[in-house]
Amino acid sequence: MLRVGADMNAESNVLAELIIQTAAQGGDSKPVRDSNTGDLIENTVALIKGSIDVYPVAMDVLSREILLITPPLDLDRANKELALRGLAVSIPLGFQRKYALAVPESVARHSKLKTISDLIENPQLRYGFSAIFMNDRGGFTALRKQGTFLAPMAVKEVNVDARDKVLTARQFDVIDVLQTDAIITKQRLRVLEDDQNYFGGHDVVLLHRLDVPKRFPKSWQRLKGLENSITERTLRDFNWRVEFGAMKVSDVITEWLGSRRGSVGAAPAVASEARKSAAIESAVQPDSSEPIADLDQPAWRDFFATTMRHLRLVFAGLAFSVIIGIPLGIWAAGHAGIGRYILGGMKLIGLTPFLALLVFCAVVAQRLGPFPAILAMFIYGLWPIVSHTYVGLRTIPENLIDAATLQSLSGRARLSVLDLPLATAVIGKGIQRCAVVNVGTAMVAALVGSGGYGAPILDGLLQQDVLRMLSGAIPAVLLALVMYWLFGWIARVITPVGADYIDPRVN
Amino acid sequence: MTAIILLPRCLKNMILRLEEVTKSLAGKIIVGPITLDFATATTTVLLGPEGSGKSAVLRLFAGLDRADNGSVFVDDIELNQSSIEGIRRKVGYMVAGGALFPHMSVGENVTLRLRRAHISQPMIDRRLAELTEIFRISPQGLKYYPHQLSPWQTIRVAMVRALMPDPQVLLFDDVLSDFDRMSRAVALTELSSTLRRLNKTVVWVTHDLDEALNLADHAVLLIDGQVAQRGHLMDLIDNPADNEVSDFMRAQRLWLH
Repeated sequence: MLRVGADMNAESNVLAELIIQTAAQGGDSKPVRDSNTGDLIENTVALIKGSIDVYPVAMDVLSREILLITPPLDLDRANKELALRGLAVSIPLGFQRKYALAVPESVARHSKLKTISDLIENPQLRYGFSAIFMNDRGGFTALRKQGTFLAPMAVKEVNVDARDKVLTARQFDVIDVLQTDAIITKQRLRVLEDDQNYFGGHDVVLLHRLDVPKRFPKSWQRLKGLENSITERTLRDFNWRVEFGAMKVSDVITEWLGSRRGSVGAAPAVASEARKSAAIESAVQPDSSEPIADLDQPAWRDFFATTMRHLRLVFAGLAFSVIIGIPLGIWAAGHAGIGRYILGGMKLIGLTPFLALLVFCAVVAQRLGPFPAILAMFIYGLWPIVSHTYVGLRTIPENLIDAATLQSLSGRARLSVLDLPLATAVIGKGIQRCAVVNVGTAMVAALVGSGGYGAPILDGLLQQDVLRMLSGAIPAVLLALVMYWLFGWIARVITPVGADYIDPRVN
Repeated sequence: MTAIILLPRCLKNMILRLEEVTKSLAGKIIVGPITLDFATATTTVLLGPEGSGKSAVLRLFAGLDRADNGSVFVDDIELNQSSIEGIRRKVGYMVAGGALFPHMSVGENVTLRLRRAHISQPMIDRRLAELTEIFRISPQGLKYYPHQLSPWQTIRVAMVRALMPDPQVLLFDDVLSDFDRMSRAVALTELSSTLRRLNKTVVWVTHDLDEALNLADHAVLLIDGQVAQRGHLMDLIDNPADNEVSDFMRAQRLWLH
């Protein structure tokens, strides 16, 4: 099995898919995506340990972060260093990781911007640079170091995820991009020509274990076919279709591989030719109508999946709370002494802020995701269930208890014949409250990565996307109402006829 | 006939007896020390002002509360942990409001005890038929739920429930207290004839002299957990043993007219 690692970003995802589908054509490797790794260090460690086999990486990042050598670095030197660790780099894919400055087409035309040097004459421009660019020695520092670009600049930091938003709002005129960024296509940006060679370009290659070519010769042959086959433009198009066109990565790659099969031989030459002209290329949005027509279906499916995840959290938490809480409440009601302490303990849980409880659960479970979320919701849900069960059982009217005693009903018999049927309405209220509260707590649980309606809200907050936030908030309100109604109805159905004709005790 | 009348009281069969019993609640003595008995197949009214311990006496006989000191006898058996289940079958006990189980129909309420004792269905049906005839409950009425019944219907159902195991004793703890004047008059007329027909030992607790006069000749007047006077009701009115008795009686008569 050929295991492919990737970083946790869309582009790395696209490249991993490309490697997988290409290697699969070889037929001897059964390539799979490794989901346990997410960044450069993790992937490199996994490569050395042998838990992944291939990982796409840019040469400058590799040399600076892993080999601790100041770039530029050529393949031979890199392979010499890597061989000691059982690794190698090969197959430059064709495109380069290269910073660029980009401006919206309208601004470019208005200020007659073509090259980076043209920016110097336009001090009114507002710059929004990402933190990565600002901190990268090959980025902002490189721009300043050349000594020519010394014009005063109004620079602010912009979150990478918020770029689409701020450009739409025209808050900035110039941003940093990588040549392959989907945002270039999305926002119709003009990439300024790097006339003074401020930013160096670095090949993206496959970092792999030394034994991979021997283990999977046929697949390797196929992967070699990828050499110099992808231009910045091609990859940018992939990225755009995945990020903004809501297309599946696998579909994009399959389509491209299919179209390429006819013209394998010609590809590398085209790619290197294209790279030369990439710098002066100004992106024109490729026909945008087609992928956008596909938007509805996946978005709807996405919403459905989010809803299912949310329901799973709500019902799993509720089920555990009910299964544990009702017997606990019954036991507490039957043992007045200890019962009060149990109730006090439950109340303490009920008074704990849910977020704090969630953090405790995540710390104790030592993991994120739905598990600590459901654990926290289960514990949090015990208070309404236990307290309602306790109150329901402890408030059976005294004269009915006497009547039961006179008919030799006691202990378990009384519990099943008298106490539980009469407490059903109150216990049902507890379950109803727990279900409604769970809708809210499940949203908070998105903070530990459990998914559900909280997830789009968190995304929306990061991307300053109000619609996305509302796509989580509004269904949550409706779901809470549905839960209230549903469990109110269930409580009414399971309450025996006449049982609610004793004084209402808990509301 | 004369011989029986001349027999000393202690030789008559006293089905309910308290001997030197005290009962306290939250540290305060509410009954006793008291020695009191009720003869078989008689109807006695247990009178007394609020807080005089009438209900407490009934609860002792019903086995709902245990005496602090002294002994409680029902049918010459001392009431204790081992005898209590047997005694419960001999004693029927009713409270105001009936204390029917609200989630069961009338039929389920009255047959619950026999069903749980695994009495055969034909036996239950026969007993039910007898009692529903006496208390005028229609087959349709058995399907009603307690909240659909009037107060008087509720008491009748409660009496059927209490009588299903055929107890020898019926204890009524102020069952008509929540009735209005009109329905109380109707209930009393019907009750006095029914109780006569049933021929049980009846102890009827009330603080209402009017009610007492309708049901029985004999009365026990409790004041502060002690027997203030017992005997014929008219005797209590005409020859009160002390000032407390005459005060209670005078207060009641003022209300009467």
